[in-house]
Amino acid sequence: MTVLSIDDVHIGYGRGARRVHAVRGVTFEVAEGRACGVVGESGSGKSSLARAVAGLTRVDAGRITVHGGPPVPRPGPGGVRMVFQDPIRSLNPRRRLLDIVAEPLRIAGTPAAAAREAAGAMMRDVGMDPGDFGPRRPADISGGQAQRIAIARALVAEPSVLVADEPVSGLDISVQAGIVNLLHALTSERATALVFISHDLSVVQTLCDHVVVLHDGRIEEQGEVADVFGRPGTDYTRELVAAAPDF
Amino acid sequence: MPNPAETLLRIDSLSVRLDPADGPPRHILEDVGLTLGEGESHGIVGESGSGKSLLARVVMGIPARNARTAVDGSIAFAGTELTALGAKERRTAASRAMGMIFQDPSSTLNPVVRVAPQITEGAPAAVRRSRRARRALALELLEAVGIPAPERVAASFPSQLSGGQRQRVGIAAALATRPRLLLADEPTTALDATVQLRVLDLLDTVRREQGTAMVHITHDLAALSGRTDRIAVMYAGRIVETGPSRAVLTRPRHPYTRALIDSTPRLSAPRRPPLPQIPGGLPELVHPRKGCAFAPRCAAARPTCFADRPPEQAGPDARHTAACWFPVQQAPDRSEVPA
Repeated sequence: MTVLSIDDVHIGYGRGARRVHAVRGVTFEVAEGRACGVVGESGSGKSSLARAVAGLTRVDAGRITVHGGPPVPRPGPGGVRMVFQDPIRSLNPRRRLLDIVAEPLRIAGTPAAAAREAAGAMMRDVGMDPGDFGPRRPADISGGQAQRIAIARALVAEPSVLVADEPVSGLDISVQAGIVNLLHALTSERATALVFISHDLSVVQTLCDHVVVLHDGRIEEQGEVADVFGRPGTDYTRELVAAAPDF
Repeated sequence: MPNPAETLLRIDSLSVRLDPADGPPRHILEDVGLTLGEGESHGIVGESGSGKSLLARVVMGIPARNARTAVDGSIAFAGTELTALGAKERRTAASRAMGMIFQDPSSTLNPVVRVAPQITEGAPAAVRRSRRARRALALELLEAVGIPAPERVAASFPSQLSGGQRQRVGIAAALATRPRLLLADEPTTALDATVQLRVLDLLDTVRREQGTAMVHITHDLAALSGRTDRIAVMYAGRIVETGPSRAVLTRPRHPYTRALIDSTPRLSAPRRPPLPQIPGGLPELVHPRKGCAFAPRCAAARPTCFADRPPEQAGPDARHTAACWFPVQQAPDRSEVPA
């Protein structure tokens, strides 16, 4: 079943003649429990698209829908949550980790005790013992642990869509493997639609079913990951695949 | 020194301890050895906390922030023992013959100074005295690093350039000293894949054309493939494996290198999750390491590994060594190892 539908979306910034058209007519869908990678270079429009899906940026034209309705940056069905590249900066430095994970539930009106209990269970799901880590603050944990907390906070209230914008760039290889495994396990278990923005084609190939290649705000090509990376249909995709470091 | 005409940098038994003002001392580097020939290229691979960046900083003589640095061992550069020099002489020696390229060029370039004077800042005095010579050198270097409009870029401020252009400017500035050794610390980590590839190609060209030796420090094994003569793998402040690049990447002998390669997703070898993970975390570096620092995370570890420091063992190729009691080829079947 289609969860996220992006239909001929245009996004721009600035005014008049200086207006920059970051996304120019992008269309794709993501089904329940499926992972869609969005790849492209800086300036290709992938982060603008991510923010629009999360309801953080207005679209100029076209429609983004989640289960047929508008995307809302709130927890629960129809909700879209986001995790960012710099996990430590995305967490409130003054709050304790358990409270950070519980916050979306609290905002949704869950009583404090139930919210804390659910947050503790979610922390366990991301491999962080709530007894040990719950009382700590973001400054006391590593980048990989902070990304686990950010993922727990995003998934605790079971959103329909998770948007992850470069969530593993800047992490060490052994830490990156853990986050990739976690995103895969949690989104497929919960049937969450995952939009995974990355410049790293090899990570997208591992984690995603479908891939959208963005270039200058337009879709260069899209399809099953194995097809697009195995037999690129355009020169641009071919260049991206050839530039991917490998050994 | 075995052959002073060819050896450019020789690091021997180098240990570095940081004494921060507000905490216990940390033994960051332990007994590190590395030899680099004139014009050779060496990759150093390691994760956060492996000590790879500190190693480059110690060679360059860049002091650590908020900590006293205690250095033990030897760093011989072009026949001069750097650890015997005072701080000022040390910096002079380094600035004359070494250039460093950093991960984030925007943090090393001065935002309120135009590009040209920043490039020529480290140029030889004869060049710096003449305005015309300075300008000529800046343009020549910008062209050498593949900037299509060198005149325009020379007159720009760093904020007016893209990340790839800024990194090229950083490389041009490192080359202005006409260094015999370039130390590049994650030079392409902040760049897009296609730009990354062009910058790596550029560094290869510079090295070939100018005969500059290079140490390329990175967490990304794939960035080194086909580009360095040798690779050293660092873990918790020690070099655990070193050898010809191809051999290290395709026939790793240390279990840590093996695990690192296994958990790296690769386009040429499609896989679905879960990716193999390395259990546990890095050791605290507050005590000197006993035995092998990787033992607590190693599937093949035996009691010896925890008790005694592993010797460097060469494989069939004598140039390829691993500091391990049970290197990968000889490792017993995992099922035989008691948990």
